[in-house]
Amino acid sequence: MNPAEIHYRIAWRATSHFPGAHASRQQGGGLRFRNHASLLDAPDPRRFDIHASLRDPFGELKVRIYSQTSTIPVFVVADLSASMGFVGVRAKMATLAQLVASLSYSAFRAGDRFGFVGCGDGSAEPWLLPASMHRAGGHEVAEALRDFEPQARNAQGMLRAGELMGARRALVFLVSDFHWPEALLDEVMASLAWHDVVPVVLWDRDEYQRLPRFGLARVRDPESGASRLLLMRRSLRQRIEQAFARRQAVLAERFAPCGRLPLMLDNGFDADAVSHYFYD
Amino acid sequence: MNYGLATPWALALLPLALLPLLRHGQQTLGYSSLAMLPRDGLSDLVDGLVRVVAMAAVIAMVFGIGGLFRAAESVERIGQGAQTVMLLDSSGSMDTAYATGTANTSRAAVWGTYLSKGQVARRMLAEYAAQRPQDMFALFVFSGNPIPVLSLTEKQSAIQAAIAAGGIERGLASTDLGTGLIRSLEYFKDQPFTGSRVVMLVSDGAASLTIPVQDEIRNLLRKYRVSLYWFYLRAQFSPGLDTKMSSDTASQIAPEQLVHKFFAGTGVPYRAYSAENPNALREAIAEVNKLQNLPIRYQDVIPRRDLSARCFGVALALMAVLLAAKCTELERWH
Repeated sequence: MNPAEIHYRIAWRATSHFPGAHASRQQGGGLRFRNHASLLDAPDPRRFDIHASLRDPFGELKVRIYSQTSTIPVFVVADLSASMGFVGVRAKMATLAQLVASLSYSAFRAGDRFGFVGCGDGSAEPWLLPASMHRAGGHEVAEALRDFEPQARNAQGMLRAGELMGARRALVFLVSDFHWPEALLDEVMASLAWHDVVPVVLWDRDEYQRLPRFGLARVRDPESGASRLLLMRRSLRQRIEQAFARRQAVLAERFAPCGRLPLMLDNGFDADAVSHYFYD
Repeated sequence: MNYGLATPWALALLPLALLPLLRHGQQTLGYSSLAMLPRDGLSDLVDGLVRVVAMAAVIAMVFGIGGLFRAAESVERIGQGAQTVMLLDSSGSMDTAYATGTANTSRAAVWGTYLSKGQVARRMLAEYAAQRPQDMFALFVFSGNPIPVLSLTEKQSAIQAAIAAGGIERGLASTDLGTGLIRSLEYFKDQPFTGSRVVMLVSDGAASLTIPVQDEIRNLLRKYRVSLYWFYLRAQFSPGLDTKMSSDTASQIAPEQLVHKFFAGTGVPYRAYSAENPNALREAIAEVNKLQNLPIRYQDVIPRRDLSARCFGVALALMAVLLAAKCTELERWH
């Protein structure tokens, strides 16, 4: 069975020569009219425009030039630090795997190239699937992600992701829970500034909404290994919810200069929700 | 307050009390990031309390294992009242029937069916001691030899137990009143005169005192300034203290008359009470009440007390607190 398809679109002009589904800077066989040019400059008599040629005061023969639609690279840049191993209502890694599989298939359907970069703390080699038209490439990565237990102590490796994606501007799904220091957040966004970055915030309702009602809970941070005792109760539940609401506002504020709002995936993967993000 | 440990090497276990600082012993729940959780003072307080309680429980258990005790110590106390030495005759004659009957009652009583003089004597002493709770009492028993039973104390329970003990009615054959009296008077030796001193002799008096013994008794009574009270228990066919007769006759049939005379002549306050008189006891108490009640300073010994059970109790209570914390602990997030 094929994964659910995601329909994405971009607000910028693709630069690829390869014909694809996205508006492009390339001129060629598209439907979008761009300008007129002399037949000598664009020797394609099929596009001969009688009206334009007659209107031209110099009597030049004019042809219409159209913009081609091109492919874009689509990347998933995933944070593989230990905090992504959280399993609540759904495992974050499972959601990530679904997203990768779905995006890979969608990119294939749209004729786009799909690639994957997974980064931990930077000490290990990052996961890298170079952008390609290979239909099953993303599927294999998704299968590997499903069983992967992230162990990395931080997300510093994300700073290297920009180097691994090639020079062409890409649509980048930056998938993380963004439980990062704000400095790292800014640095990563700066390193990916060339690309069109969609921040996908993977939270789980168990993290901040479906909290235990009452009891002593010793919570452990998978990245630092430190633990804290929490006396769960009504007021603390409210404060945790408020903290996450504030965090969401901070993230939105940080991502705004990059032109995108965060895409919240806090209830597992939902292809339609991702599509709505692009079309609403 | 001196505290000690029965087995001090148990303190080697004391470093175990640091365990709660190193290990929390709780089920940890994975969470994505602690930095996202707001600081919570109450939670931190609970965390600290649980650790402190656990440490205290370990310490209490270690002291319990070590056998914590409070050492015996002597405390200076100040009492008010008389110092009374009760001198109880426990010779065989005290086991005979007390003179409650008349000449018509049976001569040969069957053991166990009558009230013996010893029983009467002990009952009287017990009542007397109970009426004077602020006094200090010592108990001395004599028959052939003097037997010290209880040195001066104001602990009523000890006094009553001492009086009740030995009430088994199997007295020895002879009666050596003189030695008993001398030894009992030596209770007051080297003791400061901090209150009225009373020797309460309970006897049926079938004893004679030789002249040297009489001299010594007289000397000691004067030296220690002791008041002497004699509860006289008359045997069923004894003439008693007050029947008029010559001293020759008295030495033959009622030597107690001679003893009575001697006591009366010692020059110290002396009263003889006949136990037949139901008011005798009350009179005696009233008499002692009239004596001067100087404050008595004395050393009281508080016995060594084992506190290990208390330590384990404290540990148990603390463990109950920990158990409550464990019960509210979440093993899963949901």
